[in-house]
Amino acid sequence: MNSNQPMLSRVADSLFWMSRYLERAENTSRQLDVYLNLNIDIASSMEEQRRLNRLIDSLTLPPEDMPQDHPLFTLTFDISNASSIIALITGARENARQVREQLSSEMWMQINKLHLHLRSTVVDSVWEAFPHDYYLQVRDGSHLFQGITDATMNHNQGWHFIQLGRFIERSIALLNLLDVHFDNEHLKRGEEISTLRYFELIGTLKSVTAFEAYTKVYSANVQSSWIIEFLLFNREFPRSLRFCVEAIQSSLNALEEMSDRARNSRLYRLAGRLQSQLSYDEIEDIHSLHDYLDNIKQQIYRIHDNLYHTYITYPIETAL
Amino acid sequence: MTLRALDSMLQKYESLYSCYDETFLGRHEPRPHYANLVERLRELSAEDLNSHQHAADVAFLNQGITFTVYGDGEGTERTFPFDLLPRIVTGQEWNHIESGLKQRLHALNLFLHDIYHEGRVFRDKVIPYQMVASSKHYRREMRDVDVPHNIYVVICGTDLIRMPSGSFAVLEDNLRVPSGVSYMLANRQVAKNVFPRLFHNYGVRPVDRYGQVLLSKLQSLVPHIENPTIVLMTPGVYNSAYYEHTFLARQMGIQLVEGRDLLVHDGYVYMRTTSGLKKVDVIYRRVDDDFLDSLIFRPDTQLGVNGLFNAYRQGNVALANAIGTGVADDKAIYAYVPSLIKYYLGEDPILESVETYLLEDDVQRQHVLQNIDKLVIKAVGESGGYGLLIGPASTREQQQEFIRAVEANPRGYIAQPTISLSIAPCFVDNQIESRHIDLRPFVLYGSDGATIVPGGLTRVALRKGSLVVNSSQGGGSKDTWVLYE
Repeated sequence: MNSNQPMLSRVADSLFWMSRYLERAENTSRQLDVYLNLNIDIASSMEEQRRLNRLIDSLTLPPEDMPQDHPLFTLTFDISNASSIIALITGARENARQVREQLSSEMWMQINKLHLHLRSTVVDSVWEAFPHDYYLQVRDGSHLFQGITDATMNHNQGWHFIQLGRFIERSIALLNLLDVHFDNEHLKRGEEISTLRYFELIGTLKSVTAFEAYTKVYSANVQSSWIIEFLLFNREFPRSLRFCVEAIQSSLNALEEMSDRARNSRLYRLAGRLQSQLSYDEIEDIHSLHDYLDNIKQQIYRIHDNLYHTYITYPIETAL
Repeated sequence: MTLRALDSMLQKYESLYSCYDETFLGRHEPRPHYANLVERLRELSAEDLNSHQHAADVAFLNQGITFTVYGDGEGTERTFPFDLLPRIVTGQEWNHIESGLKQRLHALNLFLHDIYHEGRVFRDKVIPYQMVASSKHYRREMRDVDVPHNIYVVICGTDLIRMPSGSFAVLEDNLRVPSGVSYMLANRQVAKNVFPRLFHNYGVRPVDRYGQVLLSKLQSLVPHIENPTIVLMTPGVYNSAYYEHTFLARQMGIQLVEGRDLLVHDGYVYMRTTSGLKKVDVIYRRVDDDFLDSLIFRPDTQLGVNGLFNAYRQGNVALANAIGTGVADDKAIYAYVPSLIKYYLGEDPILESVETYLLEDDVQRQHVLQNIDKLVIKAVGESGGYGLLIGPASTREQQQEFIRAVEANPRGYIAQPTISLSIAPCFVDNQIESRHIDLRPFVLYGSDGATIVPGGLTRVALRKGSLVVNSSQGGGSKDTWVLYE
């Protein structure tokens, strides 16, 4: 039998978005959780407001999803808000449902159970109690799904589209987070860290579950420039930009081989260029943090567009 | 546990004299092939059954074994209620059913080829041409189109009922896109978990090979192609049977495609894959005729593939089932099936049919309209329990409504006597109560003949006293154990 089974473009599309939605739900829940935690530690309504603004900016909500009255509640439970955690999990599950014969039964069971569980949670009681457990369930559910995916699904084209969805979403979320929390000031070494700033920085690290990983490399000494360096260029931390881009590149290479067709090579050039940039750049090379982050974001968008053009929305005449 | 536990659970069980009781001969005395099951029930309490029932329900929900109910917004997913207690069919009964169904499908395939080609059956006055041509599902476009091996119906789900006498009769055939087989397979998994030892000792024939058999029948349509590409075409995630489509695609290891994944170029069908376009050889389509190709059939649909019919007519793609098979499950044509079997095969029908009144005939129509409160009226082209009047259970207004409809379009309806389906015990609200059931076995037909996986979907009318077993109308299902003996 041919081991390189063809895969429907529509299926690739659904797997990709299933994975992006799930990653986004996980990311959102982590950021909301950190925000609530920080508010417990440092109760100052002015700080809280600023922090909330940063949170909203970093999630880069489209205008129609901008929450009005109860931002946290809305972003967690409001199914009519497409950026809420519950809507994102529903979106992931809906995409999974459309391609469920492509998933292992275990994967489908997990995402279906997660969805049913979150949908049936009694909202008010969770909210009164403290929603930390709820956010934890989202993250655990997402982690479990990823583990089940790796352990039970063939690592075929579909698996690589799942990887691409996850790592493209993750790298864009990270770039947004860095953009909101840091500016050129923070590129300098030898920063004085106030208590408030310390909590904020720890919060930023925890937003991408990087605190422990960071201390293993830089010790518990927290510095903005080191955090930026760590999150952009560390090769081993699975949520650093460099790690994400290497994962993207390796899945693209695998796809090229599995879909066994000579393709326009632009997609692979784009990914290769970005990957090598991130392996050689140093924090000293960055003059304007915002421009640097934005440039990388544009490169990732181009990779995304080319990915779609190559595998999913290609014109028929190029494929006969 | 004691005798008494079972007896108290059975307190509400009513054996009705007007219908056949599958399980009990007399009060609480089981038929021989049910004795072991009843014995096992004596060891279980209502709490035990309840916890099994709960576990089964959760298993169905978590696996997403659901169907979609139309008519409320974007469609709600529901599980198909599962009853714990299996329905048991003896080997002897099954052999009779099996040979009857094979005979029937064989004749219907010959009939379909005949009406779309030379039409001998009309010349020989077995059935009036008008009767066929006026059927809602007759497809003029199929005239003189040759289908692979002259096989029109590859997959057939025939609804059998048990008459008060105990004999099986055909209630209707489903020759277009019959569904329900995934529940036959899923129910078996659950029933095995509930009664593992009992199942093991009972001598039940396995149903697990269904996917494999279906795949081989589909392959048999294109023997000249090595490694043919076979796909299952679904209307999509909002179709009520979407779960089943995904299930079957996975069982067979074939792609589940939607119309938008396919395109026709130069008379061939291709699917759009990440490796470019790939030619498709066989389509097991779960999309109705009307929606297959908007250039030929309904223009207002995007579920299908433009140009598909053209590729089909050129013989470049095989469809299962063929287009236009619905004419043979038209409920008026049903009345002719016994004579069709006789005509094409020279044999007497093995399975009984239900007496059917054709309402275009003035005498029959008068009789029916006068006795509408005793009869069942059915729209000829509908399925799923829609377009149905059960006389004894209907109101005066409903009857008037059907009388008007029949008078306006007599060809559109038939009437049959109200038959009490057989009853079987079901676990309902901590009690074992009797409910009406039917049986839908699935017949698969390929160039090597017909195969029936020993089993089927036993559907249950869960509402007390109801005779309607369809999932869309409050029906449930049971596992069906066909025994070797």
